[in-house]
Amino acid sequence: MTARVSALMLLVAILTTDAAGAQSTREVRLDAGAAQVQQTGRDTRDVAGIFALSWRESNPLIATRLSAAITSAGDSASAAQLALAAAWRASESSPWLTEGGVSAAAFGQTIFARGGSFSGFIRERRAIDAGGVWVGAALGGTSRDNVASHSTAFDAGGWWRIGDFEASASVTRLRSEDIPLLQAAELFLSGDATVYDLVDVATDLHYEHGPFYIEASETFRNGLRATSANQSALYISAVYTFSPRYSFIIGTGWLLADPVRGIPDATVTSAAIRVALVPLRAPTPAAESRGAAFVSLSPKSSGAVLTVRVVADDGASVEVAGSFSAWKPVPLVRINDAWEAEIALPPGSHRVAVRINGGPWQAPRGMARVKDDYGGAAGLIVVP
Amino acid sequence: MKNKNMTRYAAFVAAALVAAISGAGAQQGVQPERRITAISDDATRSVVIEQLTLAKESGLPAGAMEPLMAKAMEGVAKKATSKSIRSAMDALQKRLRKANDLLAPSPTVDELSAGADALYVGVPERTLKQMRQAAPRRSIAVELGVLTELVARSVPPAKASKMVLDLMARGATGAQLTAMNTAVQSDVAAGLTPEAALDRHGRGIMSLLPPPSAVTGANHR
Repeated sequence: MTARVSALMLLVAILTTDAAGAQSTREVRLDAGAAQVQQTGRDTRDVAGIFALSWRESNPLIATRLSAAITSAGDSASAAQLALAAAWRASESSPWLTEGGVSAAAFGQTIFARGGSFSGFIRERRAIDAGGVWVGAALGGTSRDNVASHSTAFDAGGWWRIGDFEASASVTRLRSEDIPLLQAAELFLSGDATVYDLVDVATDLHYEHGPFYIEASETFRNGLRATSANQSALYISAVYTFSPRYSFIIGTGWLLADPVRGIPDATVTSAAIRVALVPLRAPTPAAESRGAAFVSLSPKSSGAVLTVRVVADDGASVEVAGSFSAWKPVPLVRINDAWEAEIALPPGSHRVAVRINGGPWQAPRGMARVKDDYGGAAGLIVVP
Repeated sequence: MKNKNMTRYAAFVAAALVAAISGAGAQQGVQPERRITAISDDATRSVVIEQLTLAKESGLPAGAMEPLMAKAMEGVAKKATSKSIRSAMDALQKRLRKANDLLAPSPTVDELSAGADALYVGVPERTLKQMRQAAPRRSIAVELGVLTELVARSVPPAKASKMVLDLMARGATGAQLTAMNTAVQSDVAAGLTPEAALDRHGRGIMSLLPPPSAVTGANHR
């Protein structure tokens, strides 16, 4: 059986990678476009419509992205995928970042008819100076026409940022029982072997400046033990953001087969419009952030307005104080699920702290923290 | 009885200090005299008056009383002991005096306060002097505040100092520095080290600015 080409998975693979970011934002976006896909060894080219919906919610400690995508085509390129990815850290200053995620896909000539895949991954990143290193592992299972197979991957790599450029390199060790998928990619086993052993060495370079984002990836794949493989693939993509709401995305190149997620290799050329349905809205603090205070600053013609938002119970007493109020506590008011206060700040440096139910004064999240001479801390903010 | 006498004494001494504190960008809408007399603990009130008097006698400009008063009120709000408040005010007074010297000849109240904060988080003294030399005729309170925030976010003081000084030499505005500070905050939240984030955004702003020779005199406006 020839492995089914699934263009949408290529798209979702791109969508999920930035779930690792942990900025204080909420975003819902829609990607709509088309792709031309040709699998190795096949004469036909599939043209498919791609639709993906992605929701992202993040605060400085946790970022989560949920993506759903569907590829509509008249042949075997039709497929659907759901992916959930998250990244989290123990504290804002921690250099360690843990990422994890799962994805499930159904693919076939008639959607859900031919089979599907399920995969999960976990990765630990450590920031060092202008870059960092990571190690990760992934496990996937694929079923096609009632034949199941499993694949594993272990990867390690590093990245480095210089100005607007970021380069990364990684090594991935793959083991896979997905013979139909890898045979379709023209990778073969010798003797009686039933498991593929592969090593991928990947390099990636991206450049980001203003509204432009360009990325080039080169992957070299070689076989180990009974696996015969010697492939290299280049993929280039670019994003142009022409307004806070709209971006244009293009990509072209060869993507090697991904046995962990059951994605066949393919030469792909795609174009899509990205629409931010909810662009960069300030977050509603999540339930797990109970007790945490968040701040945002809105510049005014002279000074700024500081919005303080604290998640606490209905009956709580929540106060903010600082140099702006001569450290006289100012009560917050209940708005929806949180307590809020808006404070007009004149230009200059200000110290801010919050407390709940008369407890200790704390520096709000996201602000620079300074010791307060009294055994605690306060947030520091500069208003131009 | 003792309490009443102390309150009257406090009001009297505080009134003498009002002239020094007010008119110096004093606390938003809260009279300094009222703030001193509102301190219910006798020992704390005495310490505050003592420290403000010492600060005035030491030659600190009138405006410098305000950050001292704020430090005292912070201690009161945080239920600190009078001993802790004395210690905190004394330490701040020393930093203010140091900042006053380094930012001479006539620093504004905001500059003094921001300079004292900068020294507190570990900004080298020579940096304050160099910043003043880079902009002798305008307020550098925002620049000092951004530098303090960067160091408080764990950017090494020497690196943060160099970046801010370089940007000032290229004519970066306070708004540009503040924007850089906000971008660094976002990148740190996204996983980048503070140093790398500063490097990235500092260079980004630098690329938008004219070379140093083109801004000669720009900081003297």
